[in-house]
Amino acid sequence: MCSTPPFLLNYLYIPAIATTVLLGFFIFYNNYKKITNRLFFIFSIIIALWMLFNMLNFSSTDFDSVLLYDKLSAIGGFIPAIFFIFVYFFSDDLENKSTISKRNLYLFLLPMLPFIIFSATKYNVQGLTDPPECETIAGPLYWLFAAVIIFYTAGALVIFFKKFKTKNNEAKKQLKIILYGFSFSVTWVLIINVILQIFGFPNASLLAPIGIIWLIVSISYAIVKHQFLNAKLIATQALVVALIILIASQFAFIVTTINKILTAFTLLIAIVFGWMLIRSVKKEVKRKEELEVANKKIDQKNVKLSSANREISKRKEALEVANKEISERKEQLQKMADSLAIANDKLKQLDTAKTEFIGLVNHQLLHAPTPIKDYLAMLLEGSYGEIPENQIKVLKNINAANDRQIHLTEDLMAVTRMESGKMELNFTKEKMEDICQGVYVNVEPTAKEKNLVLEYAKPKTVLPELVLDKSKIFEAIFNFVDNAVKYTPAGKIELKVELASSSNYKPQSLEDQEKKAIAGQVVRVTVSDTGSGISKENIAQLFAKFSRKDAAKLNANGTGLGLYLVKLTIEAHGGRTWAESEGEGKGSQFIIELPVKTPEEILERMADKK
Amino acid sequence: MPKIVIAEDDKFLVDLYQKKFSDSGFEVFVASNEKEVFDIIEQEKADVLLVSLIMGGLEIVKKIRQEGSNMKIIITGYYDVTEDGKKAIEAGADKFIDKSHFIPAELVEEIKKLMEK
Amino acid sequence: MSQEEMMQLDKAKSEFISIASHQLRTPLTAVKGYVSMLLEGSYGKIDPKQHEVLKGVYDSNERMVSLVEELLDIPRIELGKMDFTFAPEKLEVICQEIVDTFVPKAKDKGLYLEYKKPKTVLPELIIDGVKVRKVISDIVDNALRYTTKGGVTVKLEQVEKNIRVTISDTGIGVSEEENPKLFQKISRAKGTSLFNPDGLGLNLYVDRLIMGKNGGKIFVESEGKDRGAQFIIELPVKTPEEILEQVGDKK
Repeated sequence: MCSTPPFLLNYLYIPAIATTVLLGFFIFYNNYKKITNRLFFIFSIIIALWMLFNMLNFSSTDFDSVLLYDKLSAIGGFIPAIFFIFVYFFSDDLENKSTISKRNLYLFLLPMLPFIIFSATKYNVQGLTDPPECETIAGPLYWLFAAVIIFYTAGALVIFFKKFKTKNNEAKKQLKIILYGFSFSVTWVLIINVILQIFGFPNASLLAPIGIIWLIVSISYAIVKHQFLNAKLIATQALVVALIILIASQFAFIVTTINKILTAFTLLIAIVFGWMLIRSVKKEVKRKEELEVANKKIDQKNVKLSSANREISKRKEALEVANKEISERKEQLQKMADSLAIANDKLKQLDTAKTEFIGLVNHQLLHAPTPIKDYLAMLLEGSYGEIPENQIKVLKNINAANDRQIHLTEDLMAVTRMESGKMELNFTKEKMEDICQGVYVNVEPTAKEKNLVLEYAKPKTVLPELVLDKSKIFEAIFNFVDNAVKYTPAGKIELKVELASSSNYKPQSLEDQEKKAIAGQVVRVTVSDTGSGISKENIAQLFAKFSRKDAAKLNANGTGLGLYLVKLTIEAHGGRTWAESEGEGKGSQFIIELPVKTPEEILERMADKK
Repeated sequence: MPKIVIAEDDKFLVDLYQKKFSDSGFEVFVASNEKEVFDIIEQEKADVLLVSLIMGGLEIVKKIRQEGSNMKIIITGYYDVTEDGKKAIEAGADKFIDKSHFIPAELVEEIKKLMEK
Repeated sequence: MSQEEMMQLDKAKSEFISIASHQLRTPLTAVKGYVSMLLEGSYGKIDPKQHEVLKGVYDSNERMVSLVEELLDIPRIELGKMDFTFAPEKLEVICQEIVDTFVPKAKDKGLYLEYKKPKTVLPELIIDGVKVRKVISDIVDNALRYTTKGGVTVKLEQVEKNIRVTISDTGIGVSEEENPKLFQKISRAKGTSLFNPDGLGLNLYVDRLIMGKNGGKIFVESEGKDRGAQFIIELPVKTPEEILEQVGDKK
């Protein structure tokens, strides 16, 4: 008969085994799909079995049982292997990786093969020493057994530390926990085996296997934490079950019936209350979870809110900046408006002043010669008595001079008004043929007197009506024809009007170089004469406003402004006017072109007037 | 009888001056351009020249003075922004007369005064 | 319109005015010449009636001549081309002459024209006598024109470092709004432009410019409409050095 240690040891082993099994079971139960959990379950079962066999080993008295259990406890050799595999998969799981490859798995398990074969043979455990010690005698291949164990343990540790380098803090935490568990187990074993041995507790070494419980617990904790399995619930469940088992186990040792009844009663109470406890814990856990979920949601919402708030305050800031800009702009605009208003005012004043001035000059300069004209008329009529012939001539000269002054003033006023944009043009739709006819009729008698031929070549087809100021255009054409009659000593003057598909305009002076010809169809009036012609140099000056040099070339009858005024008038109609001549003595042509299509500005002016 | 050359652009003024100077005892010659002015001066050996600015009076005066002639020259014109009065004297004229302020009779007076100097 | 454009427009206007007035004067000269000759009898005898009429023609024409000259003064003075001849002048003499000239006119209108002489002998001033005469004449002329009853007083005195000619009238006065505009280029005291067919109202502006060239100034004080006006012409009395400087500038 082999000796057995005090029964106390069993009391230590049983809860340890139970806890291990329970933990493994619960973790498996909570998420059996995960490899890690499955592995852990296997791990815990193997450990539990190993502890059980150990317990049975030292609590058996029968030699053969002791030997049997001794051999069976070789199952403990699997522990490192499983641990190794477990660590491998768990650390991957921690990082949410799944690098499960069946090939690797089988590779790991390969060295297990001989182990499995050998473990039960006498090569591992040869036998036992004689009773009462009944201690193990190692077989010849025991070293192999040890080597495999070391191999797997080392491997597990290597992987462990490799994975420890991970950046994932969560994973690091879990691995740390396992490490602590592992350390505690190792420390426990060391303390038991080394220290207690020294102090002379030989049986204390039997406590060593219990030390593995720390590893189990720490791994469970790590798993639970990682998988968010509720530790509290599991713990409660485990505890309740352990309690029940503990109480139930008493049946094995109770003899008296009363004790049995009492124990049964206690068990019943334990079951009922345990059940209630588990339920309430479950509820609490659920509520906690819901609360957490709700909290999480609230947190999320808070995060959203605070980011929204930030957005809002950002927007507010932006708005404020924009507002500032707007008010600054407003100020600027106001200032601009103010200065514009002032400038406008000044312009208006200037304008009014101009108009007044022109009006004044007009009034004065035209007013003054009127009495002269009246007096002379009366003198010449004989209202103041008879006047001798030579005096009449003089009076006529005076009258002519005075008239010239009037004409000049009128022309000057017209030019000033046209240039300053104050000339009122009265635009109506007119027939050019009629205007030309009017001019012809007007000049014909003068031409006849001078024995000149004045012809009016009517257009073959009806010309399109044009929008123009009838009296001003009449004046312009009249000016040309009248001039032609004046400056042609003999021959013919021809007035022609026609429709042309395009303009023939050629700029004649420097200022006109920029001017473009009229686009599209034009109505062209040509006044040609057989007079003295115009030299090239003079052509450029013809339509210019008189300059000092030109004054000498001024004909005594002319004001020097006539042609300039014609030019201003025609251009105010969007038209063009110019002269052509082959040279001195070769006659000349004076041309007016007006666009068939009414220019925009004229249409606008007409619209404005309405 | 003193001889006067009249070179005026305005035909009325020519008519006027012609009559007045004739009435005042001058022999009057009328020139209508620079060439004629020099022709007449040379031909007739005129004593006085009455020439308007517009007819190129300044140039004519300068030329006459360059030739060394001392004939009396009056330049007529109108006071203007171009400081004609000064220019006329600087060019060598004896006097500048603003036609706006002189009637023909006064013109004759002036010329007579000049000739007495 | 930019500043530059306005200046260009101004210049163009001035040039135009000068050319225009030149062109305008030729026929005026012709009329002047002919009428004067007719009046002299160069073309034969004239009936008294005809004589009168012709005189009217002559006067009208003269008015136009001065009108045109008025027009011309502005570009002339603005472009700095007006001739100024500076010489020592006695303002007492100038004022006396002007008053003498206008007394008949005042009498015609039934107004008085007083001359308040200075108590002491005033220093001579280096000025353009002709132009200053014109200025003072214009003011006296204006004063008489715009006064219907009462009269005009011309006072000459020295006030500290200035010699002052004050021409006060009992006429229609100058309202507060009109005051600053009076001496401007384009202005007419309101209500007068239509009453007075003469002139373009540019005189006062020219006068101001002339006074400026002479180193003095002209301004008006008035109690308001219908309370008469006081036109004041002021010329500084200068030390010999200042005079030399001034003359040196102006040459």
